[in-house]
Amino acid sequence: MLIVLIPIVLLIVVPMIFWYSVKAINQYIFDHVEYTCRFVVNKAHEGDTIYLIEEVHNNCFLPAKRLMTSIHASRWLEFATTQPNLVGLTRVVTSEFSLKAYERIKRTWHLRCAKRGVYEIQNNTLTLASVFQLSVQSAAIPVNTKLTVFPEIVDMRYMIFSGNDFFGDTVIRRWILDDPFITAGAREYFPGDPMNRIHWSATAKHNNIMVRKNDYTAKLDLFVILNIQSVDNEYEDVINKDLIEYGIKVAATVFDLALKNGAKIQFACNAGTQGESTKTVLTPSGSSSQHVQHLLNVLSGMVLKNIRYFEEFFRNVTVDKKDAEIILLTCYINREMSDIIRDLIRARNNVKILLLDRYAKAIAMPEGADLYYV
Amino acid sequence: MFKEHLKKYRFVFFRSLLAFYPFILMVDALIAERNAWYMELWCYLFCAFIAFAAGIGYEGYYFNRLRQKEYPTRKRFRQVAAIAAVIMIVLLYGLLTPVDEVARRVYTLSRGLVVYPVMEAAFFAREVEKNKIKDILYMVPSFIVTFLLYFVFPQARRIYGNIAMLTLVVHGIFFATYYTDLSARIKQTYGRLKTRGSIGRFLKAWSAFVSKARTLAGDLLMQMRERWKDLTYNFFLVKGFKKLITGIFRFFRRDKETKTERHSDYIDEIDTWFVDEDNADRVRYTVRGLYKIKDPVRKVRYAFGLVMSDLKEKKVGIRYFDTVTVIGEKSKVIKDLDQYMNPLCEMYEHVRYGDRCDEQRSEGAAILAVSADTTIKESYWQPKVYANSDFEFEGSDQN
Repeated sequence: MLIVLIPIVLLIVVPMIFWYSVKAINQYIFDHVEYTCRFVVNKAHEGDTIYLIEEVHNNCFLPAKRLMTSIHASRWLEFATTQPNLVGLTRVVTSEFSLKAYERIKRTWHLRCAKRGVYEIQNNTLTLASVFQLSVQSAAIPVNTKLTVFPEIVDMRYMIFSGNDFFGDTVIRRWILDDPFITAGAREYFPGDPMNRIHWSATAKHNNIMVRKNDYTAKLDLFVILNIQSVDNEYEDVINKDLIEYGIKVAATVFDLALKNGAKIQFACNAGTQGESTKTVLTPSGSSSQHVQHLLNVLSGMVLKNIRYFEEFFRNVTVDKKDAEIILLTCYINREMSDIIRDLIRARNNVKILLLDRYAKAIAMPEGADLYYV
Repeated sequence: MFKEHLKKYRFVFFRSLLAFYPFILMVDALIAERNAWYMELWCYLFCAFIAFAAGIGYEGYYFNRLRQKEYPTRKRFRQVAAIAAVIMIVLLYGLLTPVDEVARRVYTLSRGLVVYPVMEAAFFAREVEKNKIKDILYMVPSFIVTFLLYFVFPQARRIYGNIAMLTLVVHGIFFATYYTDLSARIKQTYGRLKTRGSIGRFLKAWSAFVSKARTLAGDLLMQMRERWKDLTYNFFLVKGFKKLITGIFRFFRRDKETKTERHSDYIDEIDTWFVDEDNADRVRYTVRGLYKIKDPVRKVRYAFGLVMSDLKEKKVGIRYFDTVTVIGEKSKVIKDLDQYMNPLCEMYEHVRYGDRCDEQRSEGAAILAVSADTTIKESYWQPKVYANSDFEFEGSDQN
């Protein structure tokens, strides 16, 4: 009897006891491992290199020798030289740790932001294997770290922007106070005019005391409208994504310039954002840096999907728009759009069209509108 | 100065011990003709243990260095299975061989596995004469396997290293216990020490040193035993043990500075960090703990504390200065929690400002807290404040 029992005990029971004890120890270590993961910054621009920090602490007197974490990041966040697994739009980066008792490792990863967007890491997988890999413990650890990558700023200084192109003052007919920096001509002196306003050369010419006459100006509000449709008949998803991405970059550049020049700016687009993908974008007008940051946030989270037919959207957002500088970013121009632009010009608006497609033809361009190929 | 030096280079010191020990044994065996055998045994076991520890340490290092991309895989499992099969075959072989031969043969094999053939001559000089050829024959195949595993299949190296070290230790003990008639061996050794001549005198002096060391070690063991008893009797077994281990680690590693390792993809900053003991002594809120409390006032406070700890775990964003009303408002983010939180907050306010509560109400508070605890744990809620953000993201809230 014993001859039969002893081998059974040796071959089955002892390995089983060993296995279960290894499992229990592994579970104990796993319960004492603390893990956090976060981006060092919460905002960056496209092309920037940022850092992602992983912190693992083995708060236990036993070593956690084979610990692995899987970071589930976006594919547009490029990790330095690793060869990670790409699953659709997700990039899975594995990271191995070997921790002694009470040891803490702070791992700093280098990342490159390849594309604008709002990137969120919600859960990372933590896996701990025991000695001889008899037991493997695994769990999804909530991380909740978020990064907003703003669009790249395009260098457009030598292309379209010159002098008062977008951000200068516009001469108007009547206003309460004149602009001391804009001189319209000279007029005769009236009692009460200050001495420093006297135009001496005109006085010598007319043999009468003449003073400088100033003009009336007004600063126009900028209104940037982005057409998310890359072609005329596009019903949902954007076909030519590169063009629209470039349009977003151009819009970001305009916002940046507006902030530098202190111009009031408003933005509208017939697409939704990541948070609210069923609503079109129409922001209030503002000139503060917070407002511009908000606009950049909107651009970062923009979903390339047409929610509303652009012509209809364009007409609705520009109803009752007067004395404004309208910048239209679009890949094409059709007759319906030309009609709306014509109406806008009639309502004393300055309209500038930035055509994103270099090969697009502007059909029936209305007089008074400026066209730029960017 | 010496202490610091030892601290810094202690692993190097141990490793060098391990490397030199077989040679020491060999020289010793040649000169002294196998006296003072027990010292050798203890030293050998000590070295084997250090080798085992070094093996584990190396394993971790090697694992990091490899930076494997997938883990664990079937491929790896196959390797483990193969090694396990080898071990099983060895064990079966051990079972089939005559009982008298098992210990020696298996031990010889395991020695071959860890590439310590020199120990053959050193440690078992007495048996060398009659078993020399046999032993070498046993060692050859295992040495070949070792060679193959170490140099041809490097993937299996670390797992194999561990197993080999482990088998060495286990079989070393096995062999020593099988072949040792303790009283006879001690008599024999002391008899040999009585020999005249310089070598004998030298060994005698060392023997005194060893016996002194043994006495000290015995005292230490006794002290440890008493300490262990104290721990057991005071019902602080786990806590005390943890403190003991932490203390040992602190002693060795507290002053260790942060180590920086630069890799191509990332930078590692490694340090040792002990969780503050004050934090460890904080009250832990559990349902079991709630039912243990008899005092009604303490029970209501504990019930509220239980819910607060749950909300903290869920990262609801409750701060220490929040009033009960604010807490009630903030907790609304968890679905269906209102029905438990509102009466519980009301009860807690009575206790908080009046310090009075009857038993029936406290029982009610406990039931509410348990229900709230279950609701919070079962709910799914992601915090809007992100780990790296110092403000709310505007983009998702507007438009």
